Amino acid sequence: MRITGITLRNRRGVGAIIGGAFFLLIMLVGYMVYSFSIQAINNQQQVLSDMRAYDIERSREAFKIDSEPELSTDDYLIVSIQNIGPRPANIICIGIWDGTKHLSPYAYWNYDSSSSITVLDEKGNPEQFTPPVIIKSGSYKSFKAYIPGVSEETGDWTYKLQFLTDKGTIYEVGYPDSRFSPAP
Amino acid sequence: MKPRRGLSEIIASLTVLIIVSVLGVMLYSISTGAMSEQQNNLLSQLRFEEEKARERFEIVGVDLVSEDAGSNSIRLWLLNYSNDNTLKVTISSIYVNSQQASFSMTNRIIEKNIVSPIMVDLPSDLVQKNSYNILVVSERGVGNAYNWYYDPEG
Repeated sequence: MRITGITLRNRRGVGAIIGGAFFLLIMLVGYMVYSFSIQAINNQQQVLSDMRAYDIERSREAFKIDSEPELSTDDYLIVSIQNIGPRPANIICIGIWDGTKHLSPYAYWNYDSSSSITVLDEKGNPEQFTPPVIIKSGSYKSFKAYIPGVSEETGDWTYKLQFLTDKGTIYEVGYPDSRFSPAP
Repeated sequence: MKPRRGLSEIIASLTVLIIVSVLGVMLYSISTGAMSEQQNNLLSQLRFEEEKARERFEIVGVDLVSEDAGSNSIRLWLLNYSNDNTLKVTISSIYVNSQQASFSMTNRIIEKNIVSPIMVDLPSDLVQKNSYNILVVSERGVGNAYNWYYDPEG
């Protein structure tokens, strides 16, 4: 018997080839979906693992004041802080708050460019405050914050310096009482 | 001459071939478009989840905008410390004591490693020696809460 010029005898096995091609196609699509989902899951796991490490690093960041804050007669508040954490800390921002009032902070370096903060290295040499200021583990840095009129303050007044790191740690030092750290 | 009955095999085959080809091309383009859209949606969803996991921000301080009595505006200082240098935090909602508060749209996008102020109008009058529970929520659904005790006498 002839159908459009091809004998039935010659068509034997064609169905199996087509079936095989479909089977391969289904397997290929299945493998692609599988590999895509595995890749997506691995990627998510990697991100979560990164963030866990990031949060652990943050929780390990710790500071202490190296010496009691001092007030100079030319309106500078000088604070030395020591990094007591296991890794270098990057100070990215310093905030100066008037703790007596609940009014605007005097300055945040990255918001109020007129703020005047100088960094002193371990030898006491002044440097421009260019964030991030890196404090190695175990070492300290001194910060001189200019607060106009602070040396003429009278009565019950307080200031607070906030040191913010790139991991989101907030370390606060109060003046005159360095233990002072109420909610700003 | 023999009368022509129906179409010739060649024309019929060509017609079927054309119809099948056109339908095949249409089906292919529709399915490709649909699959590509699905893939894009899935990728953007994965990217969103990744960004959400990497997003970190914190309220580092709260202060008054004005000392005037009757003023019920405060200012929040927010730090973006996300684990991605290009990730910006966009503030979408602020709640004060579980009530939604209106806030200034300027500075609602916070760059990485930047402390940025955002003005908030409290939903009720500011009361001295009162505690305010402030919740800031970003567009990715990440929240940060802060408890602010307002005591003008320090």
